[in-house]
Amino acid sequence: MNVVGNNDLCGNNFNILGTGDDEGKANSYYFHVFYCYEVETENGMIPIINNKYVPSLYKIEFNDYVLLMVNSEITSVNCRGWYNAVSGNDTINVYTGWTMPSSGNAQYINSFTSIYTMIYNMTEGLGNKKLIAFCHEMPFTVITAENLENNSTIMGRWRS
Amino acid sequence: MVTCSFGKNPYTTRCFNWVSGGLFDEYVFIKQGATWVRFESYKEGDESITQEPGALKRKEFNNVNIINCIYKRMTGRFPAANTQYTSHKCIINVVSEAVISPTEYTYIVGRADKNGNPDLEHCSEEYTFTLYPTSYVPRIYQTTDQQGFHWVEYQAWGAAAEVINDQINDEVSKNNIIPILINTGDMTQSGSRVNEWIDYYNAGKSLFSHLE
Repeated sequence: MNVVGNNDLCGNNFNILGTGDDEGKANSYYFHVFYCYEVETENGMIPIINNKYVPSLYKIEFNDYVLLMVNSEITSVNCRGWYNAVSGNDTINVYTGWTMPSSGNAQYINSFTSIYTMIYNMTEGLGNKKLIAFCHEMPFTVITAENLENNSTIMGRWRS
Repeated sequence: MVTCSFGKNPYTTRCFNWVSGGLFDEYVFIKQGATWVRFESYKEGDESITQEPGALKRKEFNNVNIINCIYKRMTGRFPAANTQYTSHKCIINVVSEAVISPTEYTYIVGRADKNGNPDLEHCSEEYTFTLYPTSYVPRIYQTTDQQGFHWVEYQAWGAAAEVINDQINDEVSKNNIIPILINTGDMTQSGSRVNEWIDYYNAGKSLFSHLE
């Protein structure tokens, strides 16, 4: 069982080899090529945004434990160029559903189910089962910070 | 490159993924006694069907869009190498209820001959997976960040994989556990370089040939 890391990414155009820069490391496409996982199929959980699959977002339910596998590697380049998550000139953060404006206030866009909402829905109804979550950037370090602050300085530290 | 992963219900279901050269209809063949039972990988246009309860069936989905967006065959040419590939995906309900003792299954993937049997010249080697009872306790073995650029950089991972495999086999033989192999990412240095996925897989094959 795997989750995707930032170095497993390719560009939004997956046919190009790329140079390893931010543009070239945005898309989980090849993770999807090499692995198959069963995903949630209920409304509000299906990992699809604007008709594109979100790889590396699934769970496995044992009797006493649930393993939640999270894709922590979706960049703003991917939000805009792959998931077409845009509102006017602003890119929408697919984790939160909020826009990332260069100036002015962010807006919540409800045209798709955000990934955080998917995760919340996936963790409901687990009863006494213990939940263990896995992701590459623990725990959503750089991306969560960016989500919360919409700060361009933080965005500049996205990739390592 | 063949992988078998747990389904959402790890006691009953397994997910298969394999990447083949060219564009062909391909199958998972699971050995039942002396017979290979085959399941075709999902493809665009597959229609959802209602299944009677029972064991050893390809899992179907009510929403055809889910099949087509998530599970359908992916075709293309790898960057730079320009090799034509197909990524095949198939999810199988192996049993309808959890087993009462560990049960190992053998499988291969590839093309069928004119009679529907495995065309062994165009099939993988044999791999296994094991179903465990619900009374067995999950045990996680985590790896991460193999990310190599050249084949030789994956050989340290290969050596580590052998040690981990021996450890897992030893612990499985002595305890009632379900081994879970988890990689938390960065298998490759750059996801668009197909050789890195393959070098990572081949180096860890002692694990991937029998563990999810």
